[in-house]
Amino acid sequence: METLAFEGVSFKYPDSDRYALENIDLRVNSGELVLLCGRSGSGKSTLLRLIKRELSPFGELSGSITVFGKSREQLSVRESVSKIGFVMQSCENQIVTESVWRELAFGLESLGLQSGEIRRKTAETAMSFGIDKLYRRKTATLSGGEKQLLNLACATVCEPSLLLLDEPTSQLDPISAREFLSHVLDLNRELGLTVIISEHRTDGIFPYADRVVELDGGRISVNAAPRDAAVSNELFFGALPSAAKVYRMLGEKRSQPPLTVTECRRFIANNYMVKAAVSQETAPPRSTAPAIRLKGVRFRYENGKDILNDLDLDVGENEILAVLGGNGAGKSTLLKVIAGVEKPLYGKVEVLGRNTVKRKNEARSLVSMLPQDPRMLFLSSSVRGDIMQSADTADKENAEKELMRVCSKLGIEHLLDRHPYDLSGGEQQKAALAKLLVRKPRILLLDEPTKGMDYDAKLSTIALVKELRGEGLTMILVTHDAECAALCADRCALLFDGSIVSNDTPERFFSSLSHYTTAAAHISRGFFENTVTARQLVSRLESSEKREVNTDKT
Amino acid sequence: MLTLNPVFAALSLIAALILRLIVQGGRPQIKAILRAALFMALITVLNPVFSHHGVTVLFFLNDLPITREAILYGAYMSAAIMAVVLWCGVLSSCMTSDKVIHLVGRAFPHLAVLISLTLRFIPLFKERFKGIIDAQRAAGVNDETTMIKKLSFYIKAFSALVTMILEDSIDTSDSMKARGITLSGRTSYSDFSFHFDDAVVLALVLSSAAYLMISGAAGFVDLSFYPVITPLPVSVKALAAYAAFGVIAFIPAAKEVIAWRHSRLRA
Repeated sequence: METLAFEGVSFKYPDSDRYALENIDLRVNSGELVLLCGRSGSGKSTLLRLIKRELSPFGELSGSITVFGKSREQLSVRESVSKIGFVMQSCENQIVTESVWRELAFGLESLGLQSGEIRRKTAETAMSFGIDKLYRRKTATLSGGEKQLLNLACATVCEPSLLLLDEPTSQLDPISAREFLSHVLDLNRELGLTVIISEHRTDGIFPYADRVVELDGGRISVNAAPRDAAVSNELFFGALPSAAKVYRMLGEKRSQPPLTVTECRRFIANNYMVKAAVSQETAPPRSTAPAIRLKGVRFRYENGKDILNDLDLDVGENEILAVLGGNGAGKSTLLKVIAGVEKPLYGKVEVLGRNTVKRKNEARSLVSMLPQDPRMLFLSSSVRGDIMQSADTADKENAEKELMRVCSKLGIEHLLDRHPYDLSGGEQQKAALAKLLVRKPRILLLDEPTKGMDYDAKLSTIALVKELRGEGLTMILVTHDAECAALCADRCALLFDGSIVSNDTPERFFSSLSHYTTAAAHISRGFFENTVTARQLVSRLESSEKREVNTDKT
Repeated sequence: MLTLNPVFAALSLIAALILRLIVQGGRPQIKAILRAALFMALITVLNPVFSHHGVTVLFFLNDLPITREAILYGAYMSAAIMAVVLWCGVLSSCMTSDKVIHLVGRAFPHLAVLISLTLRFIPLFKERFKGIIDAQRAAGVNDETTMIKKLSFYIKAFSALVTMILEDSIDTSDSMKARGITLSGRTSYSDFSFHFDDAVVLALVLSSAAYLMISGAAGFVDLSFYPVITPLPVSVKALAAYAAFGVIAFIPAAKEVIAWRHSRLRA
């Protein structure tokens, strides 16, 4: 049975001359799990929103959209509300009410159900998503992962038959993302819900999808089963799961493309002569004079438990340190302590030899921090105004010159007169970075700089970080993204229970961890030591001997 | 309607005090009660200094007459004010947002959503505001050296907060639309239910309140302080009015005590 059909659908936003969607033909059968991929701005959200009429953007729509066998216009709002669940990207903004149980009841109240029925349905939904312990909690006290799980529960409480998920895990840490996706898979497999999900990080969903659809500039470029999509040259490299990336980078044609870590390990074992655990010597971490030094730092918010507990950390000059750790491990707090915004309870923090408490103003002028949400930095109504606000105003001419230098380096000169809120996420981040860089800080702290970005944007952020290091900056970046840390850091540190439990080069760091590590490290375990990025793995495989006989059918 | 009869003030004060002790526990209340007593003494003493009505002059202070009526009126006022303060405290700890929303929800389900939305936004505002202030400070771009600069920084940060919240609320409104806020026939879910004992209490409160209104209007319990204190009404009708007031004032405390004894018996 067909749940959804797009026939020759084109859509144009009112002020744009470009089609956001162009001639889309797409059919989705009941019970299918469809992964929708594509770069940021390729029209994924527009497509998903057009399916649910209450959320449809205004604009010029042509072609026909059929949902549950009816044309979209014939579907009543009541049907659309109860039959189509929708989860958006931001876990925070979707929550409407102050307590979890009221949030769960929201959709049911809209449909006019009586209290007894609402009680039964909310209770059942809460239990099946494992959020029954949160039932009486205030929504403000939930973690990001819990909030998004609540949003998913709220979208399914009305028992919809179609679930639309618009980059639902992009704001979550990997552990929460995995939990979220496992619930999505359950809904699809156990309850037979039709699911259309858009994602940038596809490792957890690509292998399990029935179909992979890719949008490129508003057109469908790929529409195939995962394994066929993985070998399609049309498919954007970033949309592949890590295992298939390795396969693609090797230029392999033999056998089916592996989609999961396990399949990739089997593929390597079958096709390459790998000598058992080749030990690769890596250079020990460079030791330079420390630019940042924390000694015995303890920190807690008022009446809270210790967030940082006897923490010692040295970051060498001109070094990039990546700090990893679970949700609420205190990573952002650590950055704030180094930036001098929060005062440690005990211990001392020095930046370039200056104590952040005793020589606060000096220390502050050396350190700049990019917050997780770059919008937090914008106070003016234009990018130029914001950057100028932080530039040295005493010397107007030089400030102007510095502004142009920084902006041309970041490639945002054309955005200077725009309102910061009118920029895309990536552009906002660059504008925020420009605001920090005109002050010429010596130390830059980055709080999850690649959060929610697509693959290309992530790579360009990583390249930018490396370029800034080339200019002599010392950087700490806090991230959930093991790949990102492996690609750009000189050293990686794991923050757990308030202190640093591991601190080493990315190679040693990620090879020593077995859960909180990169997919490439998972794949190469037992084959190669100190191999943590896909590129390293590929180069090691390329230098290995290939097996001639290939009986593998994956 | 309003009466200055001190019996009501006294009953109200005692009932509020007892309820407060029950609801919020004894030990930490001692300080609060001492503070309240001090406040009451202060009003009692200060009223005659500023008010010189009344005919029974006790003594002169700096040539100003201090009257017995003014002192007693001060005592009465302090008790009444203290009772109001205590009742407000009790109200704020008993009347949770859930109960308020339950009360308005049945008749105005959309108002219930609005209240809940507001309650959700308060911590969000706080968190975002701290986020912006921290982000600005951590970027090291702000000058907070003088009071004026600091103030202007806070104003700018607040305006940025409003922009951010407005932008984010587009998502919130989409989320509400997706879940049918625009549909007609909305209900308001709550897990409170109305039992027989609730009906009994309601009937008691309503009939007592009705009798109090009648006796107020008919002047059964009238009393005035100035110029001369009139005698306390002690007719049967007046006593019945005191009793009716006592019922209303002590019902919440009695309910707590019964519930407590009940749970002890069960356990």
